[in-house]
Amino acid sequence: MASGSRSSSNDLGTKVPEPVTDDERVRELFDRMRIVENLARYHHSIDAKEWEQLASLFTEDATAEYRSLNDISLFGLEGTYTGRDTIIDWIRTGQEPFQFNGAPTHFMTNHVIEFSEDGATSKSSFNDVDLPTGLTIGTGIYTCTHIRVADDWKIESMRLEQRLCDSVISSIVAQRAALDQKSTEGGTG
Amino acid sequence: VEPTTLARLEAAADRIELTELLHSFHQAVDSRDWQWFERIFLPDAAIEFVSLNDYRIFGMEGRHEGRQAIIDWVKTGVAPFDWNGAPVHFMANHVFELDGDTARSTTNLHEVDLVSGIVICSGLYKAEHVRTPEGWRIRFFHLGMWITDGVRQSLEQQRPWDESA
Repeated sequence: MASGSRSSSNDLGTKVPEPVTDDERVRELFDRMRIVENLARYHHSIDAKEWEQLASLFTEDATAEYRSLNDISLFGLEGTYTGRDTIIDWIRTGQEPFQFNGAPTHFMTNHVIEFSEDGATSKSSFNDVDLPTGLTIGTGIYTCTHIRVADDWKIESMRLEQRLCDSVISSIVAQRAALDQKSTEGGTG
Repeated sequence: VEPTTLARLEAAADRIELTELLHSFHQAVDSRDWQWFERIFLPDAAIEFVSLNDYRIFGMEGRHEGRQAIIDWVKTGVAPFDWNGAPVHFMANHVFELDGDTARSTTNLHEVDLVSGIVICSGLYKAEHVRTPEGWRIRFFHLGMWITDGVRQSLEQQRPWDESA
């Protein structure tokens, strides 16, 4: 089996591709670690509101898509966003009401990664926590494609399918309303 | 004796592959992909569920042997819940003991009730793994779960069950 003949099945997580040489196995090992770490950086950047670091994780022409898994729409954030800058603006807008002095609220795990000729696809589970109530805000599945850029990996597409918990909506709406009121009073710049 | 570089790399590869195997367990359950779920287990695998706080839930307690029995057991457990693919099981804190072509793992779990937003349980998973030509598989899976007091009312509304059963 040549190095280019890795499985490109879309059947995520069903098997680990079998590189032939030790070198290739090692490379894939580090690629997996790097991709998982980039996904961790994604939420670390959001929780720390480090927008430049967040931008550095994406390709310039990356796309992001948000879809609700129930009928609760999230403040008009649904849709598809194209281009790194647009994606960052979209995330900033979504995160604006939540100011927790660096405390993380986004938790991502259960990563599975499949490699193909073009790069890699990851699937990860995530949940976020509402710090005022201690309840879970919602859970979601992130499906991302990654491409190798120089010595690192970048996210070229990201899809989040999320379901918000029934009970937490009022707390989230209240935080959003507080922000809107502050803006109306000219309190934000 | 210090392990060689290659031995360290192989142990690291095993840990990554085992971590993905464990993650596949809940990715498959949360997406209700039973074909994927089936491939994670050896045909004669066994699963064991115990309550850590004397709270019986859905008659899930006990030991189930054979791949089909395991699938039936999980399907029964998740049957009341339809979240349209949203995940509710979150694994973390994996540690492994590697021993050639077998391995043991310990994993923490927390599960979320999407109606109330309350944590359903804290779980401790202990699994035994075997290396096969197709990759690592599970041959034994032990689940210990502490169901939180706060979630009971919400769960009971979603699925009443007979605790004396």
